[in-house]
Amino acid sequence: MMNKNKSRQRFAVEAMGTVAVTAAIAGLAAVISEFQSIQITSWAIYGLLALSLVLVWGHAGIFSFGQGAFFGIGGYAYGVAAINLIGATSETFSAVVIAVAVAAIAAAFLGYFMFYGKVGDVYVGIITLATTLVLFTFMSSTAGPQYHIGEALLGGYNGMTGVPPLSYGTPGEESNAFSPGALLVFTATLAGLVTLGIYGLLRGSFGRVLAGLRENELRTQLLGYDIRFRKLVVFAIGGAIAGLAGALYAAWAMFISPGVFGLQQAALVVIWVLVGGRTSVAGAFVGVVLVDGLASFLGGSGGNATPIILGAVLIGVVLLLPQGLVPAIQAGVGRLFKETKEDKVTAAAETVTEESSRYAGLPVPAGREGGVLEVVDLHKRFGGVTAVEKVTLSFTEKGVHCLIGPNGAGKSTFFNLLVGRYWPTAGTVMFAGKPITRAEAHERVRRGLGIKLQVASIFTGLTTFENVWLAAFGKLHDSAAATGRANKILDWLGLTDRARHQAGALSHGQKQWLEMGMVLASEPSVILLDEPTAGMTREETLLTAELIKELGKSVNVIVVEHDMEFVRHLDVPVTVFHQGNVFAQGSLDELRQDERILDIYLGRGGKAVA
Amino acid sequence: MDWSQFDWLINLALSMQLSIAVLVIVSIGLAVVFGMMGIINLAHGEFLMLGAYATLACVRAGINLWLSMGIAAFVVGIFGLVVEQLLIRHLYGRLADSMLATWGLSLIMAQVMVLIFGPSTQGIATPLGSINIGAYSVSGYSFVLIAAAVVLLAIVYWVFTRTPYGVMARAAMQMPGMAAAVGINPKLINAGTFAFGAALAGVGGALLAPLVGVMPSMGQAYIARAFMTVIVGGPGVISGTASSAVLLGGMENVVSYLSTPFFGQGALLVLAIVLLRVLPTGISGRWQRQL
Amino acid sequence: MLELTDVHSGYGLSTVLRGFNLRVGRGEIVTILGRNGVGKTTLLRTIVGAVRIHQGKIRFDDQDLSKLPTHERARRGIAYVPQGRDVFPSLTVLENLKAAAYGTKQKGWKEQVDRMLDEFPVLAQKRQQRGGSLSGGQQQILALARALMTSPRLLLLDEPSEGIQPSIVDQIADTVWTIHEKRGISVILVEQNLDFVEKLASRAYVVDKGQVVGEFPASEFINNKDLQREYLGV
Repeated sequence: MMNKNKSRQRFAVEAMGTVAVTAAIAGLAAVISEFQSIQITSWAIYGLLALSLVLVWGHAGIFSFGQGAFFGIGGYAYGVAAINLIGATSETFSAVVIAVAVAAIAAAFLGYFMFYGKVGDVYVGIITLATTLVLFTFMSSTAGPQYHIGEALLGGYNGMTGVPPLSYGTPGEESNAFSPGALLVFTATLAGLVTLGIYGLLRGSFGRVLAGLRENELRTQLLGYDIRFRKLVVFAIGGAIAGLAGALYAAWAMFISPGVFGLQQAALVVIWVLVGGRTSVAGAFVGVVLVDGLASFLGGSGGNATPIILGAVLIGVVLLLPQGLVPAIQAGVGRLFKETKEDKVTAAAETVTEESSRYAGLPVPAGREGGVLEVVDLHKRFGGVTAVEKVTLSFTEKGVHCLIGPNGAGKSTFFNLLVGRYWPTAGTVMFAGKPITRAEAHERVRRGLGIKLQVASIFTGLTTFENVWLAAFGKLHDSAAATGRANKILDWLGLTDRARHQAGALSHGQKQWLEMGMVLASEPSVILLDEPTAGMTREETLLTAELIKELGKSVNVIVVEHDMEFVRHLDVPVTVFHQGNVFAQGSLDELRQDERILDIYLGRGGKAVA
Repeated sequence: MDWSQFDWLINLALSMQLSIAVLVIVSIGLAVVFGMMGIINLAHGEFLMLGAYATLACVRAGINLWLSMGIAAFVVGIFGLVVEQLLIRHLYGRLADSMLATWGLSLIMAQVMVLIFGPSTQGIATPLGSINIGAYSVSGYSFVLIAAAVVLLAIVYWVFTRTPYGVMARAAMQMPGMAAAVGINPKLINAGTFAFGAALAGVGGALLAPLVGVMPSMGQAYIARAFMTVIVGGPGVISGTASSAVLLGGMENVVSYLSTPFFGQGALLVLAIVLLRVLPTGISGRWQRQL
Repeated sequence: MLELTDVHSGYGLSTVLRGFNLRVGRGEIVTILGRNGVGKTTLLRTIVGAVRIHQGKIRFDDQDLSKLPTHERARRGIAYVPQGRDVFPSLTVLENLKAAAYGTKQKGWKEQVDRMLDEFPVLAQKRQQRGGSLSGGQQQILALARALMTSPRLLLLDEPSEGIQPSIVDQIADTVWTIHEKRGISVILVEQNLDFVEKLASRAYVVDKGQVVGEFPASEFINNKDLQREYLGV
C-alpha cells in the first residue's frame, strides 16, 4: 500500500504544480502586454508539441521524429475546417476538434503500419522523419488554384492564408475572435489540462506498462502484454496532442505553411525535448522557453546564426547531457539535499545472510489444474546436425524435474523447443492436453507456462516493486490486486527492503530471484527454468535450491541445470540427456552408481556408447 | 509500326532509368555507412550539398568539370574523416544519439553554407548538350548519370571484396570482437568506412550539381528519398540499394509521368511504407549475401 | 611466457575472475578445467582483452598486456579460437584467412595462405564458399587456420570439441597437436571432454568461482575419478 500512497502523493504534487502554473499564467494575462501574451501563448503551444514527443519517445520508447508531421496535419486540418465551417457555425472550436481527430487518425494509421509490421526502433525514427519530409515536398507543390479543399486554398510553398483565429459565437450571428489575452488564458488552460491528463496516465497502470515496454520489450511480451496495440494507442495519443498544438498554432498565427514539415522544425521539437529531458513532462515546457528564449535573444543580434546555435546545442546536449537539462538539475538539487537516493554500490555488494528456511508457502494461489507438459517424438535438426532426436517425455506431476547432461547433449535445444524459441523439425509439444508446438512465446505464457531464460531478463530501470507489479498486473488486470500480490511476492523473496530501489542495482542472485518472482506472479501451472544458478555464489545457489523446492510443492517445475551441487541439493528426479536423447532417468544417487554417466559427462561416452 | 509510339517508350524508359540512377547516386554513401557501421548519418544530405559546392568552386576556379568531381569526392571524404574523429566515434552503439548529433551537424552545415555562398541557387552548365530521339530531346548528361550509378555500385563492390580494407571492414561489421582478436583495429576501420561513405556522398553531390540548382538547402530535397531507398533496401549495401532504387525510382517515375511529380513523391512514400510493412528488415533482409 | 598475477576482471559492475594466477611456459599446453560458469571463458576473454581487467597484471614475454587493446594483443602473438568458432559467416574461406593476415599485417601472407590450404585440404576444396555454410568441424578447422594466419606464439582454445561429431573430435585433437608440435606454439585449452584433454595437455588448472583451486599434472587428474568428483562435482 505504501507504494500506492507514494505514487498518489507524487501525482498530487504534480497536479497542484500544474494548476498553480496555469493559474499564474492566466493571471499574468491581465497585466502583461499583448506582445508578451502572444509570445507566451506560442510557448504553451510549442510546449504541447514537445509534450507529445515526451510521451511517445521518453515514456513509450518510440523513436518518433514525426511529431512535426502531426502538428502540421493538425494545423492544415484546422485551417481547412475553420475556413469552410466558420460561415455556418460562427465558431472554430469544432475545427479544433476536427483537427485533433484528423491528426490522431493519421498517427494511428502510420502507427499501425509500423508497429504491426514489427518495424525496428531505428526504422520508426526514419519512417516518421521521412514521412514528415515527404509531406513538406507534398504541400510545397500545391501552389496552383486547383489544389483546394472546399473554400480553402492550400497555397503551396507560401502556405495557407486567411485562417480564422480562434472564435466563439452562435450560428447565424457574427463570430467573435479571442483577444490575445483571452487566447493565452484558453491555451494555457488547455495545456494545463493535457499536462494533468499525461501525469494521470503515467502514474496509473497504463504508465507502468509503458515503462516496462520502454525498458524491456521482450520481457513485457513474455508477461502476456500485447505490446503492438499499446504502442499504437500511445502513438495515436501523441498524434492527437501534436494535432491539438498544430490547430492552436494555425489559429494563433492565422496562417500555416509547409515550413512546419521542414527539417529545422522537426529538429526543434527534438531539441526542446532533449534540453528539457526526454522523460520530463514539465521539461517539455521548460525546454521550449529556454530554446525559444535563446533563439529570440540571438535573433536580435545575429539571426543568421540561429540554426548554427541550434545545431551546436543539439550536439552539445547529446554529447554532454544525454539526460537533458531538467533531470540533470533535479539530480543536482537532489544531491544537494541528500534525498533518498539509493546507494547502488552497497545494494549490489550486500551479502545474503538470511537462514535458508525463509521460503515457506507460496504467496500466490497454486497453479491451475492440468499443468501437464508432454513431448512426443520431438526432433530438431540444424542443417546436418541433429540436436534433439526422438525425445518422448512427460512431466505430469507437480514437483521439480531436473534435466542434466554435458555440453552439446541437446538439453538447451530441448528447452528452447519447450519455450517456443525454436520450432521442432518433427514431433509435438502438448500443454494441458493441447498442442502448443508452434505457438508464439507470449501465447504459451498466456496459457500458463512460466518461462525464465538463463540471462536474467528484468526491467533494470524500474524499481523492484514495479517489476513484480507489471507481472502481476499482466495476469490480474487490476491495479490494487496487483499491488497486493507484488508486495506479497517481494516479502516471500525477502526483497521487501529493496522494493523502492532500481532493479538494475540488485546483485546477480537477487535479479534471478526477482525474475522467478515475476514468473510466479503470473500464476503459471508449469515453470521452465534454464540454468537458474549460473554465475551465482555458493550461498545464493543454496537459497535458490530452497526457493525452487518450495515452488515445486504446488507447481510443476522443469529445471535445466549444469551445477551438480545444486542438483544434489534439490534432491529430485533427474533426466540425463546425451547426444540429443534421454540417456537415463532416476534420482541423483541412483545415477551416481552408474559409471557410464561419469564417462558421458567427461566426454568418454563418444566411444563407450557409440 | 507507329514510330512515335516507339520514341515515347524509349523516352519513358530513359527517364525511368534516370530516376533510378539518381536514387542510387544520392543513397549509396548513406547505404555504406548504415550497412557497414549501423550509423545513420542525418547530415548525409549536407554531405551531398558539400560535394556540389566543392564542384562548383572548382569549376569557377577554371578546373575541368570531371576533375572537379574527383576533387569534390576527396574533399568530402576528408571532411567525413574529420567528422568521424570529432563526433561520430563518441557515439558508436548509441544509435539514437548518433542520429541526433548528425542532425545538429546538418543544421550547422546548411547554415554555414548560407553564410559563405548566400541562400540563392547557383548553377553549373549541364555538359554534353542533348540528343534527339524522335520527337524527344534527351540531355546527354542523363547517360552519364545512368553510367555513373552503375560505376559507383561497381566501385563499392570492388572496394569491399578486393581490397584489404574492404575484407577487414566486412569482418569487423559481422563480428567486431572476433575481428579485433585477429588484429583488426576497429577504430581505423570505422574511420575509413565513414570517410568512404562521405566521399561517395561527395561524388553524388558533384554528379547532381550540373543537373539541379546548387543551394545550401539542396540536401533536404534528397535526404528523405535517400533514407527511404536505404531502409527499404535493407542491410545489403549493393543488392539492397540497387533493388530498392529500381522499385522506388520506377514507381516515382511512372506515377509522375501519369500525373504530376506531386503524386510521384506520394507514391514513393506509400510504396516504401507498404514494402516495410511486408518486409520489415528491408528487401535484402532475408538474403544471405551481405553486399 | 604468459603470466597472470592476481587478475580481477568482469563485465560492468560484476566481477567474474577474483584473483586469478596462471603461468604458461614456452611450448606448453595447459588446460583449464571446471564446472560451467566458473569463469573459464572469461579467463580467455580477459587474456585477449575483450573483458575489462579491474586489477592485477597480465605479462606476455615480459611485456605488460593489461592496457593494450585487443588488436594490439593479437599483433603481439596471441590468437583466440572462441567457443562457437565465430568464423566470419558471409566472408569466403579465403577471405576469412585474408582478414586475419591483413589485420596482423603479415608480410608474406600469400605464401602463408597457400601453406594453410596445403595443410588443410578441406579448406582448399571450399575456398570460395562462405564461412557460414561450412559444417561445425570444418568451421573449427577454419577458425584454427585463421588463428594460425596471425603467426601466434600463444593459442587460446575455448571448447574446441563442443557441438562436433565424436568421429571428428579426434581429428581436431590431432590437428591441434600437429600445430603445437610443428610450430612450437603454446596452448591454453578450455575443454570439458577429458579424452580430448588427455591427448594434449601436460598441466591442468582446476577453477572454481573465478579462482584457481588446484593444479595437477593433466594425466593424474584424468585418471583419478575421486579428484574429478571433488572438483567437477559430477
